[in-house]
Amino acid sequence: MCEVLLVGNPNAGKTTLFNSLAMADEHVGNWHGVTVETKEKVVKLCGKEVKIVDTPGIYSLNALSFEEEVSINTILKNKDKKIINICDQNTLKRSLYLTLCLLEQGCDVVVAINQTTKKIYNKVDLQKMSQLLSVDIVEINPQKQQGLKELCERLFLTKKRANLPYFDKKLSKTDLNLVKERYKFVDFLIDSATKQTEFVYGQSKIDKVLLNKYLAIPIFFVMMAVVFYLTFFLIGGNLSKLFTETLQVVVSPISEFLENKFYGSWVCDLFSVAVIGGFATVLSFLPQVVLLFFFLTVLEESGYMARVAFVFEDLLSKVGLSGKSIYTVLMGFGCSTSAIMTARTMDDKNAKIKTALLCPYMSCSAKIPIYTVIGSAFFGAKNLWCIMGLYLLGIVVAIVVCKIYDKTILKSDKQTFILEFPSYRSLSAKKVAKTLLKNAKHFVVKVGSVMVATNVIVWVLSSFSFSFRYVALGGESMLEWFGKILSPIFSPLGFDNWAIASALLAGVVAKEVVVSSIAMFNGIDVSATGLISQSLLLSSSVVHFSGKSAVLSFLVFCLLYVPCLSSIAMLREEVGKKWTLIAIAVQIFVAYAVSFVIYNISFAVEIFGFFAVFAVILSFFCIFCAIFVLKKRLKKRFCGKNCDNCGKCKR
Amino acid sequence: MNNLFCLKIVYYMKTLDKVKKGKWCKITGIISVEDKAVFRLCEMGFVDGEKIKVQAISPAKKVMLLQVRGVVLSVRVDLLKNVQVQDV
Repeated sequence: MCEVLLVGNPNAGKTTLFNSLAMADEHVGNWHGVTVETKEKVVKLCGKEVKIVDTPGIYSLNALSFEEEVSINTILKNKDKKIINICDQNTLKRSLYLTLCLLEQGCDVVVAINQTTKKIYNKVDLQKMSQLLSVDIVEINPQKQQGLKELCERLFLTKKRANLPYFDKKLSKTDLNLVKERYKFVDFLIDSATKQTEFVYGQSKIDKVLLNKYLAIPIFFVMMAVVFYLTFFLIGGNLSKLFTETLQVVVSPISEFLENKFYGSWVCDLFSVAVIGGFATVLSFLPQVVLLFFFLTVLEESGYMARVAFVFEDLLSKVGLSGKSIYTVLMGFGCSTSAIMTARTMDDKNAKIKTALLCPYMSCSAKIPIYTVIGSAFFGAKNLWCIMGLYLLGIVVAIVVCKIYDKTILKSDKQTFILEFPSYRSLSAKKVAKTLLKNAKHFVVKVGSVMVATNVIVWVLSSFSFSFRYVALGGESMLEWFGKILSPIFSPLGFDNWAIASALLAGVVAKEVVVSSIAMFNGIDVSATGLISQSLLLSSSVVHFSGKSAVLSFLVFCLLYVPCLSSIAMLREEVGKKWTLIAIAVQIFVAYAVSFVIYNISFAVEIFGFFAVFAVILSFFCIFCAIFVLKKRLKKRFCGKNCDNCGKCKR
Repeated sequence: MNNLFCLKIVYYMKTLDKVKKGKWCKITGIISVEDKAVFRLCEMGFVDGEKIKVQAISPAKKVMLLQVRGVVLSVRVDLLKNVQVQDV
């Protein structure tokens, strides 16, 4: 079987071409480093069976990061295979450099010039360039399926001997003179076979505002606040209500039918509470989850993500990370499992581990049901602030933990930050719809499989005693026994309740299970977020919170404690067993410590009032600062009579 | 004496990190390519004679936005200390 590698610069359109050729649905984005691993698919091209391999983007055959290493190794191991070298038409001056590197290695290359923008800025004389290089060159537009047939036909032609007049085999591939010679030849090709305009790829007038010294960071935070407001309240909240009502209409007759058929039997409880109730409860959050993914897609597709990386590079470099980590952070808001993989774009091993370990601290979409159900029950309209605070807290805690890692066990060299700016791109409705459909499908499948299975296990444990006698949710059930052992641990955090402890334990499988378990314990059998929230306020509720401070502490604990099973599996794959275990241990400790602090502060606020507590915290902060400054001055003073700026005092 | 003279020349050479926002400059040499990242810069078009424009500088002045070979790149200032330039 013939094998074809798709090779090119980052963001050149390799995965888009892969999707078009292989009818695949791989993730694409307007950003450097979306593809971090090779992907393969066997397809029929021009009547022949071909294995297409999509590789992560590279600039040359010298790797600088992990994903580049994967790509280069694949190319060097498969030199005899066909290569489609995808070059963005707007960046030919730079992307032809990689073409020359491939040809020098003796690879069998077909150059595919990709039209990524509607307007063509650089016109290429394909015939002339093909003659000068002695390589087949095709113009393509994978999104519109243009040029693909011609590309496939060229793939099966016999290999040509490339014309590289500058190439001297004696020079090593890391010789600067070779680099200069390559660029001279690229310039010759560009001058002879293209009509260039003054267009600069990645340049935009909007950047004057978005990258402004003073406005860049506030604009980003305002944008994120708007995203959360729309997701959880204005659009998402209303859509969720509508969806819940529709679900109720569908689910209620099934529930009634089961009740009539198996009244009083455990079968009725199992299906109506564990299966239908649990499934429908979490499914009612589908609109909010899809909406969050929509906004993340907008951010990613528009090209704004690279600008955010530029703005946050200063801050993230202080904790041993790179601006590129911001992509991982934002993806973490969607799903931690897929975000962990994006850490491969880091150059340094320790930086990669740190970036992967910070993902689970982010508020992923699975935590949305917890915040919405429990937060709205106790905080009402103020829940928006609570949710935003939780998102912000996740980021702050992740940065602090990263800094500690950087100072102790995961010291890393300064990251190289070389990032190409993509041009701003308008969104294609078809592409957005496809992405949303994919995420919605993933959510429904996850809820329908993992969640239902976990719910059934939780229900069995909470409905049967150790002698396997049916005790109908509570009263000597196995889970109650476990929960009662665990609950004292959470006593300092304000929620020493067996049901809460059990829900947290079940949440390790998937975070959505926390809410479905709570619904189950409170006997909510039909989907209704409002009903779960109301049930939490009843004094007869099995899941009982002592007050708002306990709720806040619980939400913080849910945000920070162990990642879900799929994230744990991904962490193990990316950073190894040792670091996964460390990450879990650190997360439990951090979650406990932060929840403890939050609980005590909010409890103190409930008793003494906000201003009194604020004054105490401020005075402690002032004392701490004074000691810090004094210590530094004393150190400087006793260092020597005349300061020679040795820097010891600063260490 | 010769060494001293060379050192003096290197000392007075302007490097890319010193170029102000909105200015154009031309690369005259690369100080050292031992660092993989500096070599990557060369592979991305930072070679002798190439014209570069500084488009923006990050809030804490640690990253620069540069226009080179028809694309916009953001690069950490530390790396740019290895690129010698002259004003255009």
